[in-house]
Amino acid sequence: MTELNRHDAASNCDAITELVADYAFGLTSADESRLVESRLPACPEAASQLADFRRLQDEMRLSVPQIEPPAALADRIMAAAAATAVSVTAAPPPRITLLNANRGWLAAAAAIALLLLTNIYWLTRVSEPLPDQLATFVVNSEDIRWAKLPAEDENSAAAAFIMWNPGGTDGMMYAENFPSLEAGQIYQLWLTKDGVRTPVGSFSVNEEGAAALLFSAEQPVGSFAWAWITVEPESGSTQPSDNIVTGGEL
Amino acid sequence: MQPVFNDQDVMRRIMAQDQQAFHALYNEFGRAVYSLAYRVLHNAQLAEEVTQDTFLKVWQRKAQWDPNKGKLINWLLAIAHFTAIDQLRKENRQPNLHPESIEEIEYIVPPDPNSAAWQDGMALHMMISRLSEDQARLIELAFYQGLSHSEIVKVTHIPLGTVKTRLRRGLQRMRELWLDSVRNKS
Repeated sequence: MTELNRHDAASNCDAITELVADYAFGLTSADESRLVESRLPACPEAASQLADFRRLQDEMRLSVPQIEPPAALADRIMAAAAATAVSVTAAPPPRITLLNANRGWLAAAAAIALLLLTNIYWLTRVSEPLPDQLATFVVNSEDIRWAKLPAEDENSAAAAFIMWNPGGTDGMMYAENFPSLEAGQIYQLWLTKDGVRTPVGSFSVNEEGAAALLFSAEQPVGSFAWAWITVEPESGSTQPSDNIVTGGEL
Repeated sequence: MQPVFNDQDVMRRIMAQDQQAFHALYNEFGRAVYSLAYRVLHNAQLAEEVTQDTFLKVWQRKAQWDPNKGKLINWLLAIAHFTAIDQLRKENRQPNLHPESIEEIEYIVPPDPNSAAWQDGMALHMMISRLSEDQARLIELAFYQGLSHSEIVKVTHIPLGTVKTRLRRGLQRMRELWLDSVRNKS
């Protein structure tokens, strides 16, 4: 990184650190939130402060004066639960073999992603289960987590999806509408936790701008906070460039 | 002897629609959820509704806990908090003209000065008392009431720039005080 680039990076991180309190408390605008989310992996101080604020918020919620709810509330909640019990699938759905590296799993990943897209299914702060109609396409839908990584550029149609099993170190990524790269370049997937960015795989896209990637991390995928895809030299990088294509919170 | 509450075991059983496990979840955390809901809404009936909504979201698998992301209680309280703020926004369209004060509530749990929870709560209240009155009020509005900057301006009649600066400084100061208290405890 050149001196100018280091200076620019430091200024960007100063701006993000300035915003991180607002971001943690839901006070930033959509543009500001996007800016923080895109720059956070490159700003360990801001990431550390965000983690502090999240822990502080947990403490603030726990520390309110404790009031005993009315005894009848428990009965009402249990009755409502009994009336809305969700049916449990008796037989497990067919499993997709994630370790099969032939085109079969690529097509399966594409099918999952297409169904996700047609349902316009967005990730929220709280992980949500996949819709019931996808249950037959994935391994034991109760155990799958997934996240959408939207484009850094709001005018871009590029998007990526990450899926993983809680506690598992393997994951699957599907990308679509990614721009073609110049010769000597590659896309690289990063997972971020506590300001540390870990490369987990690289890929190139086909003529339609799509790709699927199976990856493994050294720690459970679900333990990471963010995922990013950047453009890197073909030989790969040990640290992400600033050329972020998509990124988002896991 | 009461069985030990195991977060992961209980949640796994709830995902399998075990009603006994769901009851155990409510027994363990119902008070904390209700108390937070009441803190936001200052209304017992609305707090009950939010508590019910929170637990039913878990039961109906509209929300799933990931143990890698944090403790079950914190996840549950976050759901309760957002649900309560949503309810508050609905109520603000038809404002509650007779909010209850906590003194009117009959079921306040007497604090246990020996409990870690009570001590942590006291430490947090002491931190807030070390902020300026304006900063503490702004944090109350932003966090517990879920107001945006512009909504805070409407309520307080403080200019937007001043709200942003005071709130940001208050939050950073609170963070510093909290980090100091965490270091002193360890």
